[in-house]
Amino acid sequence: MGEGELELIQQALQGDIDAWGEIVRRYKDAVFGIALGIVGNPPDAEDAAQDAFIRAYENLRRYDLGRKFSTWIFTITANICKNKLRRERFFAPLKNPARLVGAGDPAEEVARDERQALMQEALRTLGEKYREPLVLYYYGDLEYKDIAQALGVPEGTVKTRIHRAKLALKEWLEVRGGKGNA
Amino acid sequence: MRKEELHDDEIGRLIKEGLSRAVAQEEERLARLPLNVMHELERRRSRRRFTWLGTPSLRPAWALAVAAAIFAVGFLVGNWVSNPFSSQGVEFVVFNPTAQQVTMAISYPVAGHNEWQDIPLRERDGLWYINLRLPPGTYEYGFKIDGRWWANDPAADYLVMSANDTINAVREVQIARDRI
Repeated sequence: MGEGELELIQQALQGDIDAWGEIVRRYKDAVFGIALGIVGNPPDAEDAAQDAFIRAYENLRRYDLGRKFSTWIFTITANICKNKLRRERFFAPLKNPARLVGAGDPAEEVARDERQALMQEALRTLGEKYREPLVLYYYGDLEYKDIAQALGVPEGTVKTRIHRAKLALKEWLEVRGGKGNA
Repeated sequence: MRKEELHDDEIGRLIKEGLSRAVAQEEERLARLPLNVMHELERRRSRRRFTWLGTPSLRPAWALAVAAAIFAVGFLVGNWVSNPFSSQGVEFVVFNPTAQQVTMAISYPVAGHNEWQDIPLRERDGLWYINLRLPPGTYEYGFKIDGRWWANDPAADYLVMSANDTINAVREVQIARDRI
């Protein structure tokens, strides 16, 4: 848990809305990233992240202070995204795909940027049931058991889905990468 | 992309790095996220202050009749009233073609005092701008143009002197009367 985080959560539990504001500022990038990875477009990710922080605040009494806060807030975010996708039943492409910039060797940068752009495109081709555990595992750094709890599926299912998702991504990247960038 | 590059570890790393970069590009959304969360929590908190009005002491049949009447009135009113208290898009603009960086500081009321939030502006042909969704209320603000405070915004409703002797611009976001 981050510095002073427990105190902030305890203050928020006492009704200190400013303390919650500090928690939002600390976690906004991570929560938005999880949402973006799952719903696939920034406007919906923004809505989902906002809903996640509001729902978390309103259910703060249910948060077990012994657990990692990031796991709890990511779980809420994933559930909101899942419901959002279920409700809307469409998967809009990233409206503002990453303009990839970086430092270092330009040729290496370009190659890496291409791989990242392709990976994002590949991620969008996966069904949500594969995208959710993959994003939570690799971007959220959640363990299998936490992902299982977040998605309401057995731990074995999470492992299988991540494994299949990686195979699908690999295949997609090899075919697309081979054609476009070999 | 070459096949030998596609190890499991790299897939994980590409997902993480790709998403991190996509997130970093959305600084405008990220900047307004805490603002919007706090506004919504404040709005809900104010709404709850009136929940005592809803404690019924009626018999079930009467309660049902009253609920039906309220629903009917609500339905009729709902046809021509569409949430005038919802957030509205408010545009903030500064023209400064020589500036390298322009951010906006805006204060909003949270739990009885004002909290300031820094928001980066976007630039196009010397025009720095941002559109914020703000609920009705009074907002003090100013711009930091290459680190220097500037608040003499012609679009402001009026200017005020702050406690630390700087001038702040004020924008009042009205209830959307056109939707009443």
